[in-house]
Amino acid sequence: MPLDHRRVPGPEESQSPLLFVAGGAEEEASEARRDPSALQPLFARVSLLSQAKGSAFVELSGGTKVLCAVYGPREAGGGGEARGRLVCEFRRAPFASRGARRKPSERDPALAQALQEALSAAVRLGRYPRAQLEVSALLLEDGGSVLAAALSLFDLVSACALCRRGGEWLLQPTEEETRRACAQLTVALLPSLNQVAGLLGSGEGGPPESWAQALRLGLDGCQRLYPLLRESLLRAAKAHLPLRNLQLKRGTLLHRVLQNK
Amino acid sequence: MAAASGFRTVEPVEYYRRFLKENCRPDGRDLGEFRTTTINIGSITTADGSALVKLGNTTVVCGIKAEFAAPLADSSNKGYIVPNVDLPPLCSSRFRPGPPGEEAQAASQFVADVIENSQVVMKEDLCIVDGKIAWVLYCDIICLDYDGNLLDACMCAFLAALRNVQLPAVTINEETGLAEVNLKEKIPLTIRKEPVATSFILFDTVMIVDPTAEEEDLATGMLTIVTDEEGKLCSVHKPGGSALTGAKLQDCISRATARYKEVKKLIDKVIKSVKPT
Amino acid sequence: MRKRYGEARGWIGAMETEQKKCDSGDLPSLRRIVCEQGLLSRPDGSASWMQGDTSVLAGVYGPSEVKVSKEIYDKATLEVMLRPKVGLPGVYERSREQMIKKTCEAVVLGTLHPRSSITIVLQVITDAGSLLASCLNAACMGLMDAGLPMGSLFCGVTCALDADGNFTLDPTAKQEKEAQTVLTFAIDSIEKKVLMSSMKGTCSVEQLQQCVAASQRAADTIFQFYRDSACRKYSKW
Repeated sequence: MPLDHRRVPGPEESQSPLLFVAGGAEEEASEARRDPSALQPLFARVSLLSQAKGSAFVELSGGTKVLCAVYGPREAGGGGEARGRLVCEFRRAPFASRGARRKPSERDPALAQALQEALSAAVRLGRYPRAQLEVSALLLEDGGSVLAAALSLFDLVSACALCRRGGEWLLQPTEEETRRACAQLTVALLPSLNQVAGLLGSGEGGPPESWAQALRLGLDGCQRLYPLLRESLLRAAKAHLPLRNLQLKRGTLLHRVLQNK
Repeated sequence: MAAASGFRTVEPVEYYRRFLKENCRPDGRDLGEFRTTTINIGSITTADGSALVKLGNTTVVCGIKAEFAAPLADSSNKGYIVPNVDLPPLCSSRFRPGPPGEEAQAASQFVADVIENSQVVMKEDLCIVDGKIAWVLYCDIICLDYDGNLLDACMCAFLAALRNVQLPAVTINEETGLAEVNLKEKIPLTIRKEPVATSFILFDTVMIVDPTAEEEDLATGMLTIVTDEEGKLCSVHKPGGSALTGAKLQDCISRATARYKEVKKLIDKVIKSVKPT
Repeated sequence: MRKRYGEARGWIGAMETEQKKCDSGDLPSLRRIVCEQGLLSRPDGSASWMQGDTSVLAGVYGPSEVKVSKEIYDKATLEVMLRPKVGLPGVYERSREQMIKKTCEAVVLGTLHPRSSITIVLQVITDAGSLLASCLNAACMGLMDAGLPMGSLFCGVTCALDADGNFTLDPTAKQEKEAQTVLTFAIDSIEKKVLMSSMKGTCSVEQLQQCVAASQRAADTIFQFYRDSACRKYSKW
């Protein structure tokens, strides 16, 4: 690995102390059975950051904490496009996961891509020709269902992660469950249109029916999350009557939400 | 109101000067007044120690992860402390994605210098077996919301996170010669010094504490003073900018000493509230 | 290169003083300073600065065209590049670059050259203590040689304090290593105020003030050297 000249250098190699835990493997088997369709309690707040045009923070009771900020629209470099551009970035804090620290230069292009795909369905990019919207997400603590949490930061895209263990699918797995799972699926939904905006699956999921069942379960989860997110947005909107922080991306969508009410 | 905000946009320096004439700032603070500081520790359970510090709008999170590494050959009884400051695009639109920029690097070096100067943690304390194995403390400081006075917030988050660190007990297995970790037994770090940073901006000849991002952009110079509990100076960091006389420097040091007490009290209170003994 | 260009335009000034430790009452003493200006042909200004065995080469380019992304509408964009003797510049160099840059920005009248760039490249040749101070001095000599308008001159002075509180000006690498505190200041030539300050180790407030005072006195010696060398350069011309 080439030396990183832009960071304070540490030792060349280091190991996580978890590798040296006495007694070998961790056997904290919390085999507590739970309702597979139960959702983790979720805490969402919007407009937390002073510098961003819009921002949100989501925390799941499993520990996952994701912070997200939207900047723009600003002038996009390199030629004019009729549609605006959505640039997504997904970072993990080096201390976000259990076990070994991640090198800070590692980024997560796969998750950024998934985020971008799900969001570009929701944002009316046609309204921002030759402009660029920047979305950056930062994972502060990984407790499972990361992508889902990141996605649910955006107004009306709600998302749900599942993982499959044995024969059944669990909604919003915790980190512990994810590690033991053999397949994972993340579903993003545009509830007001009832359309799926993003889907990311991996692992050995069994027969097609099983995936179909998982998708149904996921969609159901999304629908149940939607009122929660909507409420936190509405609360913020009421607090900031001029809607200043929300105007940009959320303005048009929010308007619709308010009218529905 | 509209005229005032127009004035602010078109002639920011003149706008600011008008406030200074009245000895106050656009956000209503006195020249020597800090923004509200809040500290939250241990909020990140995946790290061995963590702290979130808010200084007005400026928000900084520090997470410390401890790992094992072999000590360097020329300092076989020393561990490592690796501080890195990250300014992701998330915290302000002035930062681009990619590797750390100039400001982030300068901040990282500042924190590293203060650690070295003040000996906040003796590197010898991090050694487990001489020449074989030592702790590495990776201190990653991430700015979540950038509204000025980054260095004070970083130092405060770093110190609070350090006091929050709980290292697992390590024993050496005599037969295999390998380390064995007992996660059930946790030991706090020995902290020798508690350096606290106080930053000022120079606006021509006027000194102002705890600048916002807007104030920093208008300022003609910056100064950061780090003091410890004995009133010793751990750093007088003035990276260029307007010139300063020795007497002015003295005023700043007095203000920094006063600030030290406030921050120390705050950190102690937070640590106590988490660990009632 | 020195033969071809150096002898035509350059000159060598040398100043010798005996180096010794001094108390605050004594006159400050510095290592021998040798400086040569205009020794490089490509940059608009250049200087090689030696104090003792520490040697730094500075090249100054500008005012010249600036990248659009770095353009500042009402003043010149100043950049400093510090190259270590071996290897690539790291975080340490970056932070020192920032200090030198902000020091230069405070004295260079950048508003006279809006939308242009001034680049200072500093190459460390040997580091035998007081490196940051030498870099500052080399940068200032380079700026003078480039003929860029400045509000004042500046110089760098390093001061090392040992455990007994005695201090040494312009310490060698060995003295720096043994010292409890090493302070580096940039002093301006008009009011002898502190433009930049950087510190290694801890010290008390009184010690800091003593060092500031001693550095201000040492600065006089360096500014006198600047003056002498400028006189010699232009009288030879």
